[in-house]
Amino acid sequence: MRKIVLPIIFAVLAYGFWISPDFKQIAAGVAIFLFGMLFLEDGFKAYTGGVLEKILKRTTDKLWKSMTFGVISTSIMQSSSLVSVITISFLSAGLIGLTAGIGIVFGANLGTTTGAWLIAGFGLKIDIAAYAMPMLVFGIILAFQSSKTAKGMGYILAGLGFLFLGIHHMKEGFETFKETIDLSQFAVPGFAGLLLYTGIGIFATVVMQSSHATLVITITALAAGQITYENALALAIGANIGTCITAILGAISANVDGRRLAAAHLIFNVTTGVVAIVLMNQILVVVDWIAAHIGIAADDWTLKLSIFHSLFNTLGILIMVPLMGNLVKVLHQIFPQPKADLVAPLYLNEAVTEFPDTLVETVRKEVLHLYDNAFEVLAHGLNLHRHDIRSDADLIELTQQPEKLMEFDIDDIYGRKVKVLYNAIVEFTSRTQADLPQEHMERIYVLREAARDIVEAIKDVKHMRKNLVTYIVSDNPSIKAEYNKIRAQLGEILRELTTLRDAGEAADLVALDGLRLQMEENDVTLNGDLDRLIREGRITAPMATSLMNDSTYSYDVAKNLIAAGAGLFGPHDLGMRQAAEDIELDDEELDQLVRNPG
Amino acid sequence: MAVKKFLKQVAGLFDLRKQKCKDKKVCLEEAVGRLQARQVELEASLAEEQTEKQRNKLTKQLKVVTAKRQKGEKILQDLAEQA
Repeated sequence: MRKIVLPIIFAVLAYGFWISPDFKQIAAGVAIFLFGMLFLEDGFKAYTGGVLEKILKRTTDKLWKSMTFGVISTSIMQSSSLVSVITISFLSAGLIGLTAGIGIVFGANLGTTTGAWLIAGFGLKIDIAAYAMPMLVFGIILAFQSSKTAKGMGYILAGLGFLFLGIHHMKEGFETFKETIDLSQFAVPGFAGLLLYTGIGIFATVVMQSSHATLVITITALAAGQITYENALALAIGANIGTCITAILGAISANVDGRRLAAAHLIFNVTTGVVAIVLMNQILVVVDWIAAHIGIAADDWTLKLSIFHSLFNTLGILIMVPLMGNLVKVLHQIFPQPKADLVAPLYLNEAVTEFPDTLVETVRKEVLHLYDNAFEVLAHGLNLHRHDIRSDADLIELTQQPEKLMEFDIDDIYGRKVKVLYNAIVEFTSRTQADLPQEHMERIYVLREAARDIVEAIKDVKHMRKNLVTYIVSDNPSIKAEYNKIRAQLGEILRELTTLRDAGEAADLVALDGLRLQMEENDVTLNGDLDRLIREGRITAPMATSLMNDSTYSYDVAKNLIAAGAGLFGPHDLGMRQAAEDIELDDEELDQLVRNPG
Repeated sequence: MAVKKFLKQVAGLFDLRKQKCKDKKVCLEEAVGRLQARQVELEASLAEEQTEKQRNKLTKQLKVVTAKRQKGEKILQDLAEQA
């Protein structure tokens, strides 16, 4: 499709440039305006970084908060597309719920109407190029700085400068274009005109991927008298509908929640558009009333267009908010949750790659997903039930009860439920971490190490299992007791990790410290017990060598699981993590503690 | 009330005092401070705990926390002497 549409667009533009220098100026104005939007988006992405994501996390527990966030962020950034993309990214990463996401989209639709106010109220009434030039100069100088903050500010300033310059050229272009050809003679009145120009608005917004650009063209053309007020209103409605194409494009690489949000966006905008078309006359009465009461002249069509734009979006919100519950239900029916496929990543997706903090959180959640799958493999590998590990039952007593061996193909389960996920995590992190800031790269590295530690622990349990399943049902009480001790000890570690996992952000790692010391003490005790058991002839030599090997595996399993726990649940902040590593006891220091109990 | 709380939370995000610690000494001091507080909590819990199993668990945690705190204080002392 692109192969056909793009050459056609180029051909039309080239013909337009050839026959009309004014058209060239208008088109260049649009191009400069769109370029300014790109700069602005890059600036906000670089400048706000984690702050925006932190605000988003804290402001989405209530619908009114989500909507307010949508309004304010879109008003400041002048881009509902950027806000939509961030929201879809967060939703895909499971950081906000669907209702909160929809609230943000509703708010963003209202926030975007401030653009029309800025252009109509400010952009057209002053010599905007005079402001654009210094903003461009200072902005570009800042953009070349090495500091991330200065660079971001530079992009924002230059972006605004390009925006203003674009508006200036469009304004000039339409003014002189009027002398050559009066587009208003092609105005289509009535309902037909309403539908036609709504369609043009949708088309223009989809092509330019910016409702702001469509609105700027509409407002500047309206100010120059090149289009009628009625047709301009229709273009504004079309721009509102066409803008959800960005959300739809952004949702292609998102998971089912992202797609639900894009659908909600489309439903909201289409509903708002239809309502505006159907109730056009009534809305215009209200527009005139508001204009009269806030001192806007009856023939100030551009400001009245701005009122109309804000009004029909507000109307859309008032209609849709009470229907939110039904909307969410319908979305869940249209996009049902796919059956949980334990082998596929749940969180890794391309929608999160643009936002470092979200990317790190996504990887963390996926490693936790890996751990959840590994928990089954580890528990069953030790012939323990997961519900027993999760309970408060005494694991030592539990392991002493008569054993029934679990039918369990550890290689098969590992291959299907763990290795596939681990491969996906390694591939995703390798591919995406190259462009990340240092701090985020370090955090991703720590999470990947945690994933590796989990996988290593499983491999060691695999090695142990062959002897374990033989000796826990052995008639020899001594060897049986030793292997049960190993099971209980590792079960305790799994239990503690489960507690940390459930505690979330409130995880207290002191318990892991205690387990580390326990692990070292167990190792010393086992060596002593082994010598005694051999001397007293209570275990055979093959049993002894098996136990020696498996005690090493068991030690490694414990070490890897504790390391994974520290990586997954330890401090996120790089500085605090480094401090924790500096004061971590090494093997020698831990050994000293074991040997000097006082 | 809810609006005030929300605005406070937003302001808190920009509060420089709560910014991540970037200085090694500051981070270490914070880590040692947390360990000191944890040590006190563990000692209190140990004094109240009756069951042997839990007492053993708390004793081990206390040993490691104390050792880490002491290690942290030594590192801070060395940093102070170097400065």
